Amino acid sequence: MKIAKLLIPGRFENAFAYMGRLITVTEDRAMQIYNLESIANFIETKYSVTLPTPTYMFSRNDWFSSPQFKTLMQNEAIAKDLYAAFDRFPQPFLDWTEISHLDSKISRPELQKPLAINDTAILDMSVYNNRIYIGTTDSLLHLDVEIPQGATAKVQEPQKRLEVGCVNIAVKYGAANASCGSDGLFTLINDFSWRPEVVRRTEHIESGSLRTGWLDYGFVNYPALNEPYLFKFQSEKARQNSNLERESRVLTEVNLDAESFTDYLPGNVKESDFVDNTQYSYNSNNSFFVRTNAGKFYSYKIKKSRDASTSILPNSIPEKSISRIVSVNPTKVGPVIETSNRIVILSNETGQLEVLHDGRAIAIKTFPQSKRFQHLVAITIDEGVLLVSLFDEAAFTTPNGANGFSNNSHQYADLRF
Amino acid sequence: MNSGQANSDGILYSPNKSGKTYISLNYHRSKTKKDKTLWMNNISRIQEYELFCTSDDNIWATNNGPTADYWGILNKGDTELGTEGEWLCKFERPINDPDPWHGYPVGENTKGITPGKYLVEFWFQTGVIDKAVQKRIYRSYR
Repeated sequence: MKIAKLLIPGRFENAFAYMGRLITVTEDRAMQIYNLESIANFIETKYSVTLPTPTYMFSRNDWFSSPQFKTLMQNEAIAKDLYAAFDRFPQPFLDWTEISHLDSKISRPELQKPLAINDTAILDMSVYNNRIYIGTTDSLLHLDVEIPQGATAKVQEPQKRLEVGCVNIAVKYGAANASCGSDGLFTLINDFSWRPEVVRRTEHIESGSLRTGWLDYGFVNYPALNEPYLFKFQSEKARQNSNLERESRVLTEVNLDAESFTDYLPGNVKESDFVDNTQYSYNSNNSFFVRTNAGKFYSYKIKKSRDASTSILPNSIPEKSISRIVSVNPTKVGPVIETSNRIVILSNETGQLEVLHDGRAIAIKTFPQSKRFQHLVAITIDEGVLLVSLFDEAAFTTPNGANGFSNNSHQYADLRF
Repeated sequence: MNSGQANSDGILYSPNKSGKTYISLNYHRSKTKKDKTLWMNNISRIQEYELFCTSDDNIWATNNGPTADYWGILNKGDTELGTEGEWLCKFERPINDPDPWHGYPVGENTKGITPGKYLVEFWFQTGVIDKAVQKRIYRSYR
């Protein structure tokens, strides 16, 4: 795996890549927005031997998926040259201040604005449809942002949405799920009025929530790290005006009858056995991960059949031993797993773990819904924001997108506690 | 050194600097009751007691009220305290004042038991935990 790291030094609380920009909140409660395209271009002028790595890695991850790129990579000589360019990127990371001082315009963030947020601690941030949601120990807020092409971004004043602490925000289908710990789960329905006839409203869905994970027909709520409950929802076609996220549907109603997500696991795993034996569980749209108290890590595929029934099937990635999980964040290359004292990537292609950062993180964000940043990880650490970009050459080295690994038969049949 | 006195419930330690007694309970040392968390074997009973004394000396209390419980942490949470990876512990104030305190590891998945904002901020301001651990507690305990 090719890994390029760029450190933006500073004292940050959280960082989110969106529409070509890096949107950050600083420790002293200011919003700073960096133009990642300009940064990548500037790095290329100063480290021309790394061309085109900076743009591919920090500005246009979507180019990795283009038919043109795939065709080029079939030429062994071109692929070799490209890998060599990746290898010339400064290791272990490029400190942005090493070169940014050479240009006074680029050395400053594109936008710096104080934020009127006096809450104790900032816990999460997500950006969706030009709206920045911020969860704190005391509230959920949003700020609308304008990010015009070729012009400076603008941010509106924060608006308070909830008067309770919010530890996690998950946005999709024109809605936002705000997980508020023991205050419960709140869903902000039709938050952009993409269905004008549906009332824009906030509903209290459940009495406990640490986070939620979206599926294409519902979401999984986690009142504890080891308790997944599936909520299904109704949706309607989205109006396209002002819909920057290209969502086709809008969530209009959440069915409050939750089901235990463990019911869908193979091997008739009882909910109580799952809870007793699991330290951490997590879902993305198509994957489900479990770490047992005994330290074993399992990966599953979530399948939805034509009759809308769900099943969770073992993945081809063999079980692993892994230390206590703090969070899992999906990327196109594989899930980024935050353990108690390091951050690793589990390659979708090879099933191997690779260390991204040795140490704890203040925040980790990935961007699976983004067009341009599906390979990027924004890790906020004491020293700044470490942008880690991932390119798995294993996806291009063998036919079928994997070095034989994905053709493995299922290596285990069900959960083994 | 306070080596403690064995009784049928555990090891009872005589009053510490502030006059509090502490008992290291047997059922938090070997699985005799369901739902009781267990201290790691490498956290000895005397270390458990010393952890309590550290909490007491520094007043690691859930609030500044007279009935607040105490919490403990070692090495910014890097040291696991419980057999299921628990890295925080709670020390319960006895209902009757002369009775001994006792403590046990608390995992993220124990709902309704959290150190709370007052203590997390105290720990953060006094350098007991760093910003990453501060946020980790808020995001995983409820």
